[in-house]
Amino acid sequence: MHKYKVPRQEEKCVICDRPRESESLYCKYHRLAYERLKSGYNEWRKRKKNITWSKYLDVVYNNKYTGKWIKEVIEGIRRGKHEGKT
Amino acid sequence: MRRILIIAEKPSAAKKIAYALSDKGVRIVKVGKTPIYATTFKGQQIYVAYAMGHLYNIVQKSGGWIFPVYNIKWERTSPKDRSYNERIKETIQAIAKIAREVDEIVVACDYDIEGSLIGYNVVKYACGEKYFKKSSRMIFSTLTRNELRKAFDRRLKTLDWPVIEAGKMRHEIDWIFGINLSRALTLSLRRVGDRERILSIGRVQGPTLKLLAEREIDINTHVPLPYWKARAIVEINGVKYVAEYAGGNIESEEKALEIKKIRDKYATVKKIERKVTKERPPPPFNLGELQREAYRIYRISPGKTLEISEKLYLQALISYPRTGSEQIPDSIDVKGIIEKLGEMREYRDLVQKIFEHSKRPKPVKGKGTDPAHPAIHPTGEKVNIKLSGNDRKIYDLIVRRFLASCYRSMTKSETRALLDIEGHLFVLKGVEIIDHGWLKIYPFKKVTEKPFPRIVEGMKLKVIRVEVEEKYTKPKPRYNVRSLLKKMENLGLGTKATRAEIIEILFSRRYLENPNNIEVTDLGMKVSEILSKICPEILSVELTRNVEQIIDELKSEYLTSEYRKVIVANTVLGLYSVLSKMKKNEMNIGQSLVGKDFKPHVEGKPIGRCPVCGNQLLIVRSKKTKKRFIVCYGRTTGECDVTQPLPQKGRIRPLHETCKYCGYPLLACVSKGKEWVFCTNIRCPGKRKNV
Repeated sequence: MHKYKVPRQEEKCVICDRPRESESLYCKYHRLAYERLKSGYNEWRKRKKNITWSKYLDVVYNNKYTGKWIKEVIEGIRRGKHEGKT
Repeated sequence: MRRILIIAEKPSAAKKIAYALSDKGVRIVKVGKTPIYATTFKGQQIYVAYAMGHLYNIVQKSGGWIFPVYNIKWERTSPKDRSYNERIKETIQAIAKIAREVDEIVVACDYDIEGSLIGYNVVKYACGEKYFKKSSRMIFSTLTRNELRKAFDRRLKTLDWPVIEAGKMRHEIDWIFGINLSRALTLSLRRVGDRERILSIGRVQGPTLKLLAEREIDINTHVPLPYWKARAIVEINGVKYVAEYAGGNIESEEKALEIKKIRDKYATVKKIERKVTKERPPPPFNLGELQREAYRIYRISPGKTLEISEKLYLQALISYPRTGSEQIPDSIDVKGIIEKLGEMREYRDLVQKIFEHSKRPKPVKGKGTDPAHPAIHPTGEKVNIKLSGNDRKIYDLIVRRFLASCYRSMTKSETRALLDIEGHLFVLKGVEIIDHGWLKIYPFKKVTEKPFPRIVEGMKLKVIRVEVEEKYTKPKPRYNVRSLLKKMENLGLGTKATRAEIIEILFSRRYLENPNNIEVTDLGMKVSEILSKICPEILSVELTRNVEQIIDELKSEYLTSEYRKVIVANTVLGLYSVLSKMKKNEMNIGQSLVGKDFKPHVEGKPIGRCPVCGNQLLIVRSKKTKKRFIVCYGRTTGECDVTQPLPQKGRIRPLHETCKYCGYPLLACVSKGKEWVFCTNIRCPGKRKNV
């Protein structure tokens, strides 16, 4: 019988129950969301010169077009659970 | 007198054929309990029997509910419904009995892959292979009297072998792909204890699900970006008009603020352009376009549209609906059809308009072609029965589209004026329909008219205000059934006849929800993710498109049975390694599908903790043998594999004590008035001693 290796707590994504990507705190989807959030900030700074990271997070979080996983990542960042914290 | 047996695909088609080919009326002869239509035509005795869809299908030759399965055979369909099963048996017996007495068998099923295969299977398995020599094929696109008589007189002298072989190939490939992948997924679930759900995936289902999952990821990871839209409100002769910023979306806040600061009270008209365009009428429907339009206009699902159009075809009101063609060949009497439609009160005025436009109306041709059938068009036959709501809507849509395709173009004029306000350019647009043309007949396309003021170049216009609005980019829209059908068609996924069914299967498996705004469920995402990891080739559009291409090519050239087997074997070859990978990762796949918190329910009596993993040991009964034994609950999640046998006779009582030699629970068994205590571990080191 194949033995299923139960993922340890620290191997789970900090946001959901999916397994973490290698060298990341996030699963595949939340990692992609985090990357898009970061690259989105660069684009926002080109369009709105003086926007800060925290203001950016606030505006994006409250926007109705923002994706579900992006919002979850922002919530994680606010709780202190994000890539930079590793 | 020459005797001929005609095999139709459905009872209603059989009736139409019998009446179309009758010289002196139709009798119904009962063979067993099966009614057969009997008539005479040009001195020949005609019997018309019918299949009820596929009377034969592919089954596994031997073995249980396992995978991989490659050993297949064709066998009589045996549905669970007992009376339906009996009807199928009786129908086959009746066809076999009449076949023995006739000189020729004519297959008159729908002219497509499925129809040809249905007819072939009936001849082969119900009558016997020796009847192939005296079999022929009728080809028709409508069930009207004239066309059926023509099709009977000009029937092919043999069966349409290339189409039959292509049909067998598609069924075999789809069956092998579908059954193996679906069983692999479902057995992965069983492995972790979820015995309730059945999962499926197939050659077309896989890429379609992946397509939707990718869109779901895009939507869920969308970061809206800001942009600005500017517009100037100008007043001309007391009427307000809106002019949009000529540069389109503004992607910089600085630029937006600069425009917002405009204080000039006047705009100068720099240039005026007027363009008159003609829009050709749309071509008659193919199935995909009919399904999309029915959904767009009436929200009728593609599956329902297909069902209704097949019903209309069987009533001889429209031509064969499973077609990819958007063209009506010259051989079809378009004028005659329109004249007949003109006899119906609701289309009289429209027909009059058509004949005022042209004495010899000719429908425009679309790009879609189909060698077997023309575009969907009305036959002009009178609607004798009252059509219900949706049936009437679909029929009306088909008639109007057909008539519109014969009418003149729609002409509209678009005017554009360039306004200069403080060096910033704005555009004032107007749209006016000069001639509605085909829109009068097919009024389902929306063209919004926008009045344009009377202005000339150099004129100064009063600017009331300049508005700048901040907006955000939206994510790509979710697919709905209509846009998904279109996408599948563009990617070559599935066929015109199967696409709607595939979408419905994905919904029924709970991979998708909300047909108007399709969302992929958690389960759908997991299935797509797992398959992308383990066997991305199954989800690739390439694989399924290649198979469709091979099938299309083979339909047009003769293919031997042996060659077909080679192609099938080559196509399913890649499946072998995929299935091995799935088998190897069964536990992981199952665990990923059910989620970590899933706890399967096991019916059993707890007797104590397992000394290996700490889970509960249970007394359970085998469903197969009904014998009792001990199993560790951890077995359901793959953590443990402990099972132990038990005596089959006597009453067992847990003692709530553990064995001092191995730690397994001790049990007491009472039988024939005697009681003895034993360790549940069959290999307990203390077994030889008196415990």
